[in-house]
Amino acid sequence: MLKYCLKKAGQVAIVMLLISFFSFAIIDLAPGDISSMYLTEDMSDAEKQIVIEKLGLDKSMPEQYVAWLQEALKGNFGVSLSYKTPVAPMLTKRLPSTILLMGTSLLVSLALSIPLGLIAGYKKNTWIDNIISGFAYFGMSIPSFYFGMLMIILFTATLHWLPSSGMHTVGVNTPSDTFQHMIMPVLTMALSTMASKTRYVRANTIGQLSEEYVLASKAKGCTPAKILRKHVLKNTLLPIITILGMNMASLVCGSFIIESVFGWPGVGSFAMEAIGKRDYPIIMAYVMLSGFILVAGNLVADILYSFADPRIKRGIDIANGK
Amino acid sequence: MNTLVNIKNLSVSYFTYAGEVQSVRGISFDIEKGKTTALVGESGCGKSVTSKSLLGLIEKPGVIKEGSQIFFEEKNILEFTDKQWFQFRGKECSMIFQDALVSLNPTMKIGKQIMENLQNHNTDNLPLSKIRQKAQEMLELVGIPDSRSCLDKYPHELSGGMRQRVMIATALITNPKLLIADEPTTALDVTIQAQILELMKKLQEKMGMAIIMITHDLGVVAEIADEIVVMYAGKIVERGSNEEIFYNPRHPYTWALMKSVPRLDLDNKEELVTIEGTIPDMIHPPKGCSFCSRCPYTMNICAEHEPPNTDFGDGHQVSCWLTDPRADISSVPFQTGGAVNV
Amino acid sequence: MENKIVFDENSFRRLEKKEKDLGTVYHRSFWKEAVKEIKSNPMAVFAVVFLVVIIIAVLLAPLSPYDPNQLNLANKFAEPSLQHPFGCDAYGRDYFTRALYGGRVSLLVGFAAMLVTVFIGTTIGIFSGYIGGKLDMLLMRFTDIFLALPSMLLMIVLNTILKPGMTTLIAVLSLFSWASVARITRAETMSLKERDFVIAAKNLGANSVLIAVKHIFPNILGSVIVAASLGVASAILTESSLSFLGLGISIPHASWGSMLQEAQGYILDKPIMAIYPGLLILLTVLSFNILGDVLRSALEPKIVK
Repeated sequence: MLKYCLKKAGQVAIVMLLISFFSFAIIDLAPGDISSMYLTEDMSDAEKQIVIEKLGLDKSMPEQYVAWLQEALKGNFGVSLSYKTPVAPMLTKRLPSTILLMGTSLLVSLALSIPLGLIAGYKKNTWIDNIISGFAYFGMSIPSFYFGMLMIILFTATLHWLPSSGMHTVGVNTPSDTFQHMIMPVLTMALSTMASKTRYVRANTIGQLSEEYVLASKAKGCTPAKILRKHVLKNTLLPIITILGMNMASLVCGSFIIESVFGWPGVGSFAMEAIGKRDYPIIMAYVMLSGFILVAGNLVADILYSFADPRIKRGIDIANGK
Repeated sequence: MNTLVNIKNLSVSYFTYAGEVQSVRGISFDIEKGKTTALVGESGCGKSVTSKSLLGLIEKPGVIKEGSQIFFEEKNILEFTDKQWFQFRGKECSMIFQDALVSLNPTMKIGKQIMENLQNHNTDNLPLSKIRQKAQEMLELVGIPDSRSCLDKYPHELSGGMRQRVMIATALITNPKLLIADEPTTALDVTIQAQILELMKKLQEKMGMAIIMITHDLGVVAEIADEIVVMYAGKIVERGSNEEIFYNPRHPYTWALMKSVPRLDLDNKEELVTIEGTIPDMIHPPKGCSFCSRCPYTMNICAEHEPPNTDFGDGHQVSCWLTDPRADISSVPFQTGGAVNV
Repeated sequence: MENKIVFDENSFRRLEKKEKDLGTVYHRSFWKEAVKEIKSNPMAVFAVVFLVVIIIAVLLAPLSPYDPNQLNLANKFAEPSLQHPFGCDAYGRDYFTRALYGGRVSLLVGFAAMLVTVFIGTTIGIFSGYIGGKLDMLLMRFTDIFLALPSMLLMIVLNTILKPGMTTLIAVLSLFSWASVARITRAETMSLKERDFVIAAKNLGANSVLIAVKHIFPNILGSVIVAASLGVASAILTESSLSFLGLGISIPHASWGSMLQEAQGYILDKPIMAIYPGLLILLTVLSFNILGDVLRSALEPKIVK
């Protein structure tokens, strides 16, 4: 089991390296001279030279990359071009609010999509399945930022129920105020990740119901409710764990867009701002952070799954000669 | 009366994309208490559908047609309510399937799956520990070594033969009166097949249940069956005792089936017979005898009219025009006529 | 009943020549199946009708009497009227005309990205699956890496750096979506490769390229079409997100996504500006998704209907 975890962790490291190298290379290709953002008119050529050397800009891309990587591994992602302060603390300061948003959305979307998918799968091709599947189609096809805008139009512009932007009302810092600010972004994000999960649970339920062990349970005199609860549920939900891992991508990218729509003070809207200013150290750090959340999410999901499914766990142990 | 099950005019159709597939077309036969009845035929002949009807497991798009009756100890089970079905399935009648691996829930421990059957029919209010003990006893009974630790294993950790033993233990823990075995040995190695059949025979002697053995393997049939029902294209073409069917087949299909397997007990120089062609389209079943297109002795009448059922005594019944005294039986290599009442 | 049978002298005569019952083959072609499937599903009919209407509408956009980029401050935020069915935007431009031109961009990007995606994906998939061995392993590792990358994120980074515009968008969208198409076509090719007609063609000496083009491609066409339909949907959706973030089509040109970006500025005062382009994206993407799913179910072997 340990060996399996290590192997998976190794894969994570490789993907992270690839992502970092890829992003670094792209940024290196970017038009415009980065050094110009650090240099001022009144510097002498010698001073300019010192700055350029300090930034490592006189070196080749691979050398710069290795230097960056060494620092990044120590948690140093360089200095922001626009704020002139270290990048890492700025990001970590904003990380909690992003995690709050992502975590809540994940829970909401799970709490809704699992029962909906189960019902739709069990009641396949009935009116209730049609409604749920139609809803999933809707969620799959609507751009998340558009759904967010529609919510703002409805709940802020028309009904004046909810605040449209930010995390707190100025000068107020109560949980209920934050909660009010959270409702729209959380629902928007939950909807966009729910659609695929609901469809997946539905398809899985249908697949499991057609398995022969279901027929065998019927032959044992199990009632439909018992078959669903005792047999189908576990087998349907196990693969959801891996889907959760894959969902990290839509969560990370979702937070990027949704934070911008709702002015949520997280890492996503911060990175958005950095993109506008072409502040590469921040962009690079953000890519690494998001990539890490994403890949680590996949890793945790894989490992959890292998613990939860007896077939895989024992299979791995046998493969490792235990 | 020794009759346990009495099937009368059972017809089952599946309404599919292409049309109505008439899987079973009005069959009738009895199952004796404590005896083994083999349902024999090629795949698609309706034998599995017949057995599923016995447990009320025909599901959409399948429909048991109007006019069908199945009496289990004189009760027409086709009129059962859902609740009656839940009590019936697993308690009065159990079933084991071809592939035990997919018939067992992959993520549930063996013990739990065996116990579940008894828990569903726990009329004596046995405590859980008693049920668990009973499950372990059943595992011992079906010959699983180390039955205690087996209770906590998952299906994929057992071999194919062991899994089938677990299925048998699950089916029999409630002491059912009828066990339906749907090709229980097809997925197993030949040596394991023999062991499983031996086990089923032994358990039948001990527990006294009737067995319906569904198979296309005549070796299995010879080994275990008391009565044989030969099905072809949703109909019964011949039925009778094991000896009658094996040594005195009167239907060209049965005869060809018997001759299509190599047998050690007969003269080895005999040539094996092959049955050419495939089973007819069950969406548009033929007007006359359904075996007509593959039968080497077809007469004009065969294509036009279904043959009547002829009784040769001792329950040996045949549906074939060749048994008619007027039939052209030149070069027919088996006995045809001599019916008790023509 | 048997009594009613009339026996004549021929009844019991042996039938010497008889017609062999060859069984009935139920032939199903993908296209017939697809049409049948669409006709039987009102949602699919809606999707097809909507797509036809929207495609014709954007093609006919130049017939509009207004220039989509012509500023006319007198008409600033004009209410919807007969002259301006969607009203006018902050610069007095006819919003309906802009939506049509925006649709041209969105659909063009969607279709072009899909074509490139499908072309790259199918080519890699077929050759990887058909040739197999080391090449297959190498190509599939490569594909897996692309599947594992956080594509949206890298698209954002890429678009930040590259010169914004349609070509960039199409290239970036295709770069990050061919991998899944390659996976699908590879799997299908692998199973087709073992089929008798391919083996027969190989034994007859046909060369690999010919076999791939003449025998394998037509047989995976169905899956490719399904992937294409879903691909257009996801390309349009991603394009709209990128344009919404200001990383796609640049002003004064518009796509539906960039129209939404503009509309976000006045969302509390003029919410109607946001509703139209978003609705167009939603309905278009929805239609392609429905179409893709319906085509997929036309591909599936069916027992039950």
